[in-house]
Amino acid sequence: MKRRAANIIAAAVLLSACLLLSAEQNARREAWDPSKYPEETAQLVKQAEEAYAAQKYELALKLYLDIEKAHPEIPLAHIGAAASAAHLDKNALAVKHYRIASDALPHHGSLLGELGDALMRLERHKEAEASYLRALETDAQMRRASWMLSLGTIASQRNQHEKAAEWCRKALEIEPNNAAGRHNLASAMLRLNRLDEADEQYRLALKLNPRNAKAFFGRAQIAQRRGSLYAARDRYLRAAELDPYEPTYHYAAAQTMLRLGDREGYQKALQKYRRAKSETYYVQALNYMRRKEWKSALARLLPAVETDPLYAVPRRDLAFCYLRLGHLKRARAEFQTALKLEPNSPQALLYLGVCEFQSGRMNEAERLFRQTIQLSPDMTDAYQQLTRVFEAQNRMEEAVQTLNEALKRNAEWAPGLWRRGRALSRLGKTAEAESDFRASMRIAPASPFPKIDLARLLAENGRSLDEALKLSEEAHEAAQSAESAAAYAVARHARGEADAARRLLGEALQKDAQHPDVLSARKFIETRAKR
Amino acid sequence: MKRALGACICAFALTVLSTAEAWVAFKEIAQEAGVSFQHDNGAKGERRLPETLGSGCALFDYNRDGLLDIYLVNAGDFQENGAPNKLFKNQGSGAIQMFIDATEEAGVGGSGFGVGTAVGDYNGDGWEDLYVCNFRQNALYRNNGDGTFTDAAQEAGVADPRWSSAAVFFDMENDGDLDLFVVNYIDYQKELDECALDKIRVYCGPERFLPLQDALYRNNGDGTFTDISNEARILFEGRGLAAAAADYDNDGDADLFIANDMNPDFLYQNNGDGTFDEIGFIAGTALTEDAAMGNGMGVDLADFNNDGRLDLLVTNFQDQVNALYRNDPDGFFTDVSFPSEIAVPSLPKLSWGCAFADFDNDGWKDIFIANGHLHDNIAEWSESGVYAQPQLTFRNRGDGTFEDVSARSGDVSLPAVSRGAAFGDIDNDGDIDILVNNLHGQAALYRNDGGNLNGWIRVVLEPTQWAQGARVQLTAEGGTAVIDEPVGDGSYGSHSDMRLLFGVGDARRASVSVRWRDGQTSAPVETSVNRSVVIRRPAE
Repeated sequence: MKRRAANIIAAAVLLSACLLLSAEQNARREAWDPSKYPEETAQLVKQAEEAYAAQKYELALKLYLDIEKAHPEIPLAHIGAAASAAHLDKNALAVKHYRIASDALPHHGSLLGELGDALMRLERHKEAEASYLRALETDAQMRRASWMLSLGTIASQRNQHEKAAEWCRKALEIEPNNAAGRHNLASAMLRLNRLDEADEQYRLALKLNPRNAKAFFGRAQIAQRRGSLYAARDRYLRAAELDPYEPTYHYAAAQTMLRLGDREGYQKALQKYRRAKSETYYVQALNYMRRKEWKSALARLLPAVETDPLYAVPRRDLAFCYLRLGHLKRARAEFQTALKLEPNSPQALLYLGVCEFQSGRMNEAERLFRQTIQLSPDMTDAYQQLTRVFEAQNRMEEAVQTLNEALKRNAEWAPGLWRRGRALSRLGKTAEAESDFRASMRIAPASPFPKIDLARLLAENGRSLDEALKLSEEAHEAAQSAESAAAYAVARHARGEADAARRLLGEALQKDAQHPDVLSARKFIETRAKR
Repeated sequence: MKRALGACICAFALTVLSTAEAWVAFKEIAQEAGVSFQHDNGAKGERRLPETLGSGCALFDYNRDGLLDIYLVNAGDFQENGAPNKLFKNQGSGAIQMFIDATEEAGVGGSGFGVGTAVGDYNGDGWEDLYVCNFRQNALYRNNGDGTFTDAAQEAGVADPRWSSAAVFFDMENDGDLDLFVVNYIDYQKELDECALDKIRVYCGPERFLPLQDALYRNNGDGTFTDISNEARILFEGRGLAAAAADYDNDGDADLFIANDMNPDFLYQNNGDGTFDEIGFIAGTALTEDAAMGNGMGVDLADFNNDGRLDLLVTNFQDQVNALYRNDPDGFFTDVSFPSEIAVPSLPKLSWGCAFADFDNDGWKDIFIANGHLHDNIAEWSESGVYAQPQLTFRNRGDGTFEDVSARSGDVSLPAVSRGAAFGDIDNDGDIDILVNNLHGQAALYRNDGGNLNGWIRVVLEPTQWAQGARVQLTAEGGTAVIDEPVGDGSYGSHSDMRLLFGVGDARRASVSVRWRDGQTSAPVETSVNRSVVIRRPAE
């Protein structure tokens, strides 16, 4: 598709040179010829083409859309925008611009074909069909077979297998060596249970591509329907060997082996099926997890673990989703199951510890975090979580000690420095705390947390009040949290801005009235006000 | 079917039947027959999964007058009160109004959000009882024998509070009393039930909810049951939606098949010692030929190819095949959905209730499948999906293949959003009629017109508590032996006529024998066609 889209742009430029010379067409030719554009536009076109050629599709799309905005009459802008959008999987946008371009150039078959392809990707089959049929009415020679195969696919999805076969045959008349065409024709025949014809086409497909797993699978199904179980088994196994990630092949092989009395082979193939099938769900789940769409991820992880109960990885992520969704009990149970499957999984231990911590079982949480550190001494999250346990129990010396160990391994760990600063501050070691906050800020200047704590520390000690104000203001702008509002309030109050401080304290209380930072800020302000 | 059609019409129809194209027509008669039932799914625009399931129905003779009565399960608001189920008493086809609403006097309206129902004489008093699967607590309506029922679920120990979808009465140990298998669906959590597609609110699928373990209750013989799921090894959790019990391996005890939604289907082989083994993967019924994990919605077992073994039909979601599994002599099932030609017409349909039934009495079991999408707004976001869908009817050609005759089957070709379907001869005229419960719509009663132009023999097994699981063999004059077994509970949360109706084509006589589930046999009974034969279990 990518190469085709590049061809389209090239063909479009070429086409511009071939346009006939009627007055209207002359005007259009001028619209196509970048040398006729204003200098600025011609420059943009050049940049867009370069970006496209360099596969910088985001940039290319932006540039083509800029051109289109200024000159909507230029088909090239629409074609470029559409082709770039197609590369970025923005198919609705691609459809929009291919449509405009093909309306402007209704006899340009390739554009209609590309429009059809984009519509296919959106599963708008009816419109795609119309587009392909229009493309076939033009005299475009390239890719006719491909459009016919797409029409065959549409027919097949409508369960019109005779029609699908007809389109495949037409495509194969143009391109007899089109492997996809052979394969699709074979599949249509198989669906119609016309086994001899299906087998013949699968054989031809395999001649063209001997590593076509689907064709082996198709031939295996034919063998099975004919009762040739040994042949079916061998072909299923070959398909599974060529594409081990396709669960279907393993399952079919398993069933056939069982019928042949090979229970061991059956068990092995069945387990491969379970793992491959589980993997397909898991891959989908990962996409949702990356986007933090936990409910949707959960919907994929549940079948993943049901399909292969021995697969620890999706089980662990399932537990993690539960944790993120606040289902603590379920998260805990799933982490425990994951640990039975993979007892030394640092991630499972860590998050089971988080479950225990959130459930108030501090001793168990501490044990799990210590075990995680032992297994994975570079896992900074484990130190951080262990520190939280100590903080919650006011064991600040141990918190500092834990963070010292982590920082020995990674002295540039900004959250560790910040957390140690907090612990030191609570121990009254303000100079060392300040030093940690400043180091953390140097490493992670965008993080509001060390700024909040340093601002509090300075303001509460009546030092560097301008800096405290600046830091707290920056932090509050970034975080808009209860803690940042509280720090800002303290800094303003330390500078004698009582009204502003009270307003900010109100904001902090509204956000989280029980937060210890908010409560201590309130105490600080009230005490100062009484004085 | 009206006998009064006249001899000349019959003669014409017989001529038509003699061609390969002959088929029956179904006429929708619910309103004119007095079956006025509006299903309510409680939808308020929030699009919550429970609203999509719809409900089942039952054809059974609750007052023992020889006529099939109708029970239609209703749903309602799953968060508040359910809508009442309805019982319609059959007064006979000669009555001014064939069915009258007997719900109130019988006391079977209930207030649960109902899904499926099962029928069986669990206390062996000769009167058939009703079990209703609800979103919350299930109900067991004990038939008092005087036209009324009493909810005995609590005292019987079967008031399962989980979301149940279907149930099956069957005798797991062949000890004479009916045990109960309850299919449970999902651990529903409303806060997880929010889905959108391109900013359009849609119904979520079941995969985001934990599946529930099914339940097996052993009948204690004193009106109570004991949950023996774990000791019987009914251990798996499958988001089940349908179940049927029948002796698929011809070893004399009833096995269980469960159609699961977004899970491999289960086949529990009865070991005969109070335990079961789940062998779906081994037998080849867990997944379809292309290893697709279906959204199993409905199930039936019967011998479609007359080879003496019960085959399996499982309905699935749109773009999944409705799976036809042929039971082979080697103990395995083969998915013959495509070779049998039922797969392709099934793919555009989202299918639910189903049955093998010989609608044209030619001696070969045909297939009926009720359809209807679950997304009421499917047209907004899908080109291929249609909410209201025609039903599917397949004529058995007798050579292992089926002809899609949906378009020429009369009113069943009209689109509907169907769910449960029950099958039985409501007018005792010798052909099988169909009752369909439509989601948030009027129930449909399809009268079979034309089926009885071929010969038939109805086999009534008594006592009713022994009918389930009995193996009946019928040999028509000049024909080969065919078998059948009253399955009763199955389809989608529905219960069908336990009386077996055998089509015998143009044969004039037949012989009927029975092997009861306790191993006793009844001597062959010779009979002429177009009549009922009552066979009592010898010990009675």
